[in-house]
Amino acid sequence: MLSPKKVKHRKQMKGRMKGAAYRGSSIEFGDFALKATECGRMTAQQIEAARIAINRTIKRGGKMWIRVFPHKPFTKKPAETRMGKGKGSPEGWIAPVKPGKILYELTGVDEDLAKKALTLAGNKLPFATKVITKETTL
Amino acid sequence: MLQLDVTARVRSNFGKGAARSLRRAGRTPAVLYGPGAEPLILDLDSHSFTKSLLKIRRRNAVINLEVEGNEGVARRHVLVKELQVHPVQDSLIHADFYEIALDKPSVFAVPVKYEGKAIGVELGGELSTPVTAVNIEGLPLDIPDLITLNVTKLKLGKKLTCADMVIPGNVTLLEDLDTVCVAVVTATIIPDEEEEEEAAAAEGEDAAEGSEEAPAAE
Repeated sequence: MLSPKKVKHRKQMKGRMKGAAYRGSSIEFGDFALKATECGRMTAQQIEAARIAINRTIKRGGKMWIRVFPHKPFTKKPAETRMGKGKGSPEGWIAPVKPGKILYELTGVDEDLAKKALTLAGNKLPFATKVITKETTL
Repeated sequence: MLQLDVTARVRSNFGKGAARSLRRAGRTPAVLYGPGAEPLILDLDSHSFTKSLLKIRRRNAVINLEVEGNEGVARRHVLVKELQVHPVQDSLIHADFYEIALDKPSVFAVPVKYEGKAIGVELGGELSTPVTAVNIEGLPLDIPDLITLNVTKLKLGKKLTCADMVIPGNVTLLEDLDTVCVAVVTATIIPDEEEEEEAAAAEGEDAAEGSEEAPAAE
C-alpha cells in the first residue's frame, strides 16, 4: 500500500475540494489513461485495488504509471466513544482527487485491452471516471 | 516541417462573456501576436481546428492562417504557442498563435525517435534514452519533423551521442555533440510485490499444512 515515508504533521484538517485539476490533467507517459470526472477521496487501498485490477487484466504486458499518491492522512475515533476529547488517531492515507486528474496511464497493450483494464480499475473507485486515449486528446 | 491551413476571423468583442458565447456557438477564441506586429484577437471553428490539431499532435507545424478581417483576407504564417484545454471535457478553450517569418532562421525542439531493438537489450540490458528532443536552428520549413536514430547495433554498455544523428545540411544542431542520447545499461531487477506476496502466501500454506501434520505424526 502506498503511504508517505515521513510526514511533518501526523494529522491534517479535512479540507475542501473545489474547481478542476488543471495540473496532472493530460497524458504524459502512456497511450491510454483513466481520468477522474468528479471529485473525491482515493484511499491507498483503492489505489492498490485499481492497480491490481489493471495488472491482472493486462497480465503483465505493457507498462503502467500511477499518477496519484496518498499524501493526506485521515483520522477516526474509536467505536462507542463520546464526542470530544480531541481528534481521533490516524487511520489511513488518502489522495484528494479533483475532476480532470489523470489517475493511471497505460502503454504497450492494444486499445481494447487497455480500455477493459482501465474500466475495471475505474469501477473500484468512489467517483466517476472515464478512459481517454492519447490519439483523441489535444 | 508539417504545414496546415486554418481559417480564422478577426473579432471585435472580447472578455470573459464574449469568449463564453463564442464557445457556445462552436467557435474557439484565439490571439495572434509576434515580433513587430500588433496583436490580433481572432476566433476559429472549434470542430475543424480540433481535427487539424489532432493531425499534428503537438509536433512542430507551420500553420498558414487565413485571417478574415475588415480589409479582406490576409495570409499569416504562425506556430501554435499555447493551447488551453478543458481539464475534464478535453475541449479547446483558447489558442495562442505566434507569427514567424519563413525566411528567418528560428530554433525548434525536434523530437528524437529511437528505431529498432538493440542487441544489448536482447542480451538482458536496458535501453536508457535521456534525450527525447534536440534543439535545431534553421528556416522553419527546413526543420525535420523527427530525428531518427537506429539502435539495433547497440551492444551492452555502448552508447550513441548527438554526433551520431543524421541532420539535414541546411539546419544546425544546437546540442553538445558529446551528449549521450541513448545507451544500453545493465538492467536493475526490482522484485514484483505480487510475486512476493504469492510466494509468502504459498509458504504460509505449506507451514500450516506442516504444523497440522506434525501432531498427527506424534
